[in-house]
Amino acid sequence: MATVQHSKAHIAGPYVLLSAVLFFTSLPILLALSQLILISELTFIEFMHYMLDHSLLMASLRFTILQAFVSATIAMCVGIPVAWVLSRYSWRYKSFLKSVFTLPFITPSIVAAAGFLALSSDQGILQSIGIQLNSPGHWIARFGSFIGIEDFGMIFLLILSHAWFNISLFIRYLEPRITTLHPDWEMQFLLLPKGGQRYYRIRYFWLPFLGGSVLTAWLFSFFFAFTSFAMIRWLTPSRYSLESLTGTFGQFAGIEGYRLDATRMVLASTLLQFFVLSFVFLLFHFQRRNMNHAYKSISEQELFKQQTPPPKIAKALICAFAGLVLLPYASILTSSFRIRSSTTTRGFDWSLDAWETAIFGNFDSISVTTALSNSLLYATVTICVVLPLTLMVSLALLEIEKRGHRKMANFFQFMCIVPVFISAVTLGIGISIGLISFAPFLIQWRFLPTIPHIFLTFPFALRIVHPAMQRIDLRFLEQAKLLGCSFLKTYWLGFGIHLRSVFIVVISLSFAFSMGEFGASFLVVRFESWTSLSLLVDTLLSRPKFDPIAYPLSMVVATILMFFTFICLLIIDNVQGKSGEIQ
Amino acid sequence: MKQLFAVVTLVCVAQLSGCIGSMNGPTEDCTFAEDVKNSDTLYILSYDILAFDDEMIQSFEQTYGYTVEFILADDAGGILNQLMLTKGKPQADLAIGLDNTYMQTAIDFCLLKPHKMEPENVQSHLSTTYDSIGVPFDYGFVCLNLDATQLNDNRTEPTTIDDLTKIEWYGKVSIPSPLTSSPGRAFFFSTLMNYEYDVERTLEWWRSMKQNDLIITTGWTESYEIHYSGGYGVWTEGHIGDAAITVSYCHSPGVEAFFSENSTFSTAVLYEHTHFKQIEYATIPNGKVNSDAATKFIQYLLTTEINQKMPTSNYMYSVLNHTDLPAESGYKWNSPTPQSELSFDQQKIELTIDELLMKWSEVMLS
Repeated sequence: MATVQHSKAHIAGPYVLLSAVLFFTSLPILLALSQLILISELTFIEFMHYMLDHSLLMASLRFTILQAFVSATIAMCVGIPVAWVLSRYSWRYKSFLKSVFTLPFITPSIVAAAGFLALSSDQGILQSIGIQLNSPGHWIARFGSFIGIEDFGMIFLLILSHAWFNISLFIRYLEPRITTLHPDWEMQFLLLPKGGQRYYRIRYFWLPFLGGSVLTAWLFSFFFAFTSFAMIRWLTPSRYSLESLTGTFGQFAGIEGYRLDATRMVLASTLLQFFVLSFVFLLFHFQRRNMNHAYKSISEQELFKQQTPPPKIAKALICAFAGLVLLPYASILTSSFRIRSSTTTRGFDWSLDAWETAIFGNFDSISVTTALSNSLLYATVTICVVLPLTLMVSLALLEIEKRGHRKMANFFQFMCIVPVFISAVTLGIGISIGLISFAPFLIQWRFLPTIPHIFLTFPFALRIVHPAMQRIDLRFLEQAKLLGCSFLKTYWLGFGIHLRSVFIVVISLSFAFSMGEFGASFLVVRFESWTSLSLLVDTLLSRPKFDPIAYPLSMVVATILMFFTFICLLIIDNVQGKSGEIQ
Repeated sequence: MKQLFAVVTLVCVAQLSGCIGSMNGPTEDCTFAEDVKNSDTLYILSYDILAFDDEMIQSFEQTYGYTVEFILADDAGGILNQLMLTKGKPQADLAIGLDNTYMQTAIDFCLLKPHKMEPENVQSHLSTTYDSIGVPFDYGFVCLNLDATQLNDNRTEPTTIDDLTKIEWYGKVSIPSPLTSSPGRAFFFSTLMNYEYDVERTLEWWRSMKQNDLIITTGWTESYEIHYSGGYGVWTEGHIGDAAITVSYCHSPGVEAFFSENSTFSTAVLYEHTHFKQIEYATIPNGKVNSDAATKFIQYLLTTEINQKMPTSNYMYSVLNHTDLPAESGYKWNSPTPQSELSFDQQKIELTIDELLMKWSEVMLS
């Protein structure tokens, strides 16, 4: 009898685990939605009318889609040539260059926002090269007036900042694919009757070969720009995106008999966002399913011997691009030393005062060291939960695949990755309106801020770990079992030992994501002593800046956060350098 | 797709089951919960009040033996929202920062309980109907600030708020939204007072302002820093400076001068009915809270040592008798005080504040 029960549990185990994961990941959002729907006091038809008639909502929808579309397209236009140049020549410091170009992607959004604010500041780098975004006489502002957008300068900066963020995605998706394409393929195509003509090469060779990767990167870029919160909040505060609308009104929503306008607005913006993102996710899913992965490849080392050194124009392009990538970081650092002169004349003094105040001063009831230790704590907890959870889910998926239920495994994998396409602010709303309304005691739970971090990191971790697990020969596991190893040792020898570099990448990414997470924490973190570094940057930026030290102080905190991001990148780069590219 | 169906189903189920009902009105009689006295930690619900620095909190902790833990809110609206979310089971022993534009709602929903303090040495003009529920700890007058350098032959200083609807002020006025900003809300109330609580006339003024390309911002920061041309915003990143008038405090030009060696372009505009005395309160949430510790913190907040520093630490007036704005660097000289003392009387309007805001929202956002 005991044997029968054991086998039943064994059979049901993976399904129970995966169902539980799906249940808990969807619970906050469903609870929040039901709460919002119940107190919105509108029928479905009335709600649709409300949504379509609300000028602010519709303006936000238009603005969100337009800026996301334009910034993703600009990222594509810059990303493709950079990836092309990087992969077609033998670069001496290619690994370093790739790391630099990847940096924006793991940069905390609040740091990026601070960086672009600093870039455009009075006597900042942009102004020093003659670009005055808000000056009425400048061509950017004149163009804005021509198309009827008064704050075009800042919208322009927002679009650039989103493009800056997402160019790394194009490099990440395209560069390895172009680099590892075996030269024989290209040679064979060149021998075909029309292979010598550039148009036909692009139309019939490069487009089918790279189109899928370009579309994937574009969809991800669109998604990140669409759900951007910190950038919109700080670069275009006069405009709402659906995400910033949800974030701003979210704090008033979901309370019965109070601020019905906020409840309706948040419900509407969340649903609008959900519809658009579902469409993006479906496109992404179909694209990935139809993508052709079969092509003849060549190792980078082998290719390096065959490639020619880059010409001057390629070097200039890469150097200019590296400079552009690093510019916001340099601006943050310099802004932390620049203090406005305390006179009405426009001027700045260079000083260490902001650093001294941040480290030894008395500027807040929370210190930089407390915020830093909180961030480190959340990151550590996130890693401690995400890594084992990812392993367990991946093992369960492998078990289902092993039983031949491939469709079921694909379904579960698909559903586990869905949270990637749920925005951070929506998740924050889910936790603050959904979970906390039903379980108010959670508000005092010290690890509450880590819940959104885990939710947002887990799908990325699964995307990295599961393909690596699929590639491992299961005979290692069987042999470890045959040798009578303990449970932990069996799995370590069967899987763990082959995944060490993957683990380090997941740990570093989780660490970077958790350290920089802003949108959900903005809504979830209630206790000031729980404030993370990214929230402290936002708090300091939000303060009235009558006192000249207020702004450089926020830049000091942003610099510290930036420093930890660099450390993560160095670790990832080091691991990838030692163990080859981790797909 | 599955989630989409779930959402649609939830809407339909809620419809059919009759769950979408009418809004609950305020409770007539509040029951006040007993205090809890055996806690060493004092939880304070507050926004980022600049006066509460590390030194000040440590001093309180050392003197009274409590550990202070702050619960964050964005602003006064965030504090009210937090109290609403945890109604009956407040997480904080003390809520600091609710102002007189939010107090009525908090009282209507029985979110606060009476304190047992009789604060001495508080200026008598701050006495209101909220005295038994809240203790004032700072105050200021919300009014329009004007960039004097933008005045010329075609654009003269407005003498009433009706002047702002004229063409010369087209696109030149920036106001934070009353939906998301406390000063914005205070200014909205002041417009109601200006039109003698006539909601229709008030909304007509807002409608005219909308037609005159009024700039509405989410919060005070965007309005003052980004749009206003007369403040410190000219030094900040992203500054547009398209507004010559904004809503701030009457003493904001004084704060500007204080940090700029007695130099500012900004002036406060004092019309008879368009300023609003905003009083910020320390209050005790209704529930099982540590009232003793809360009372001690309020007393500490009202000590001369702490409260007289409000103008420089929190950019607001101290509530204590015989205190004033500092004369240093032109702070006081650039901070005019309104002569008439008006207070908002909600009894004069049939609508609740929520309903008023809904109406404002319909006019301005649709």
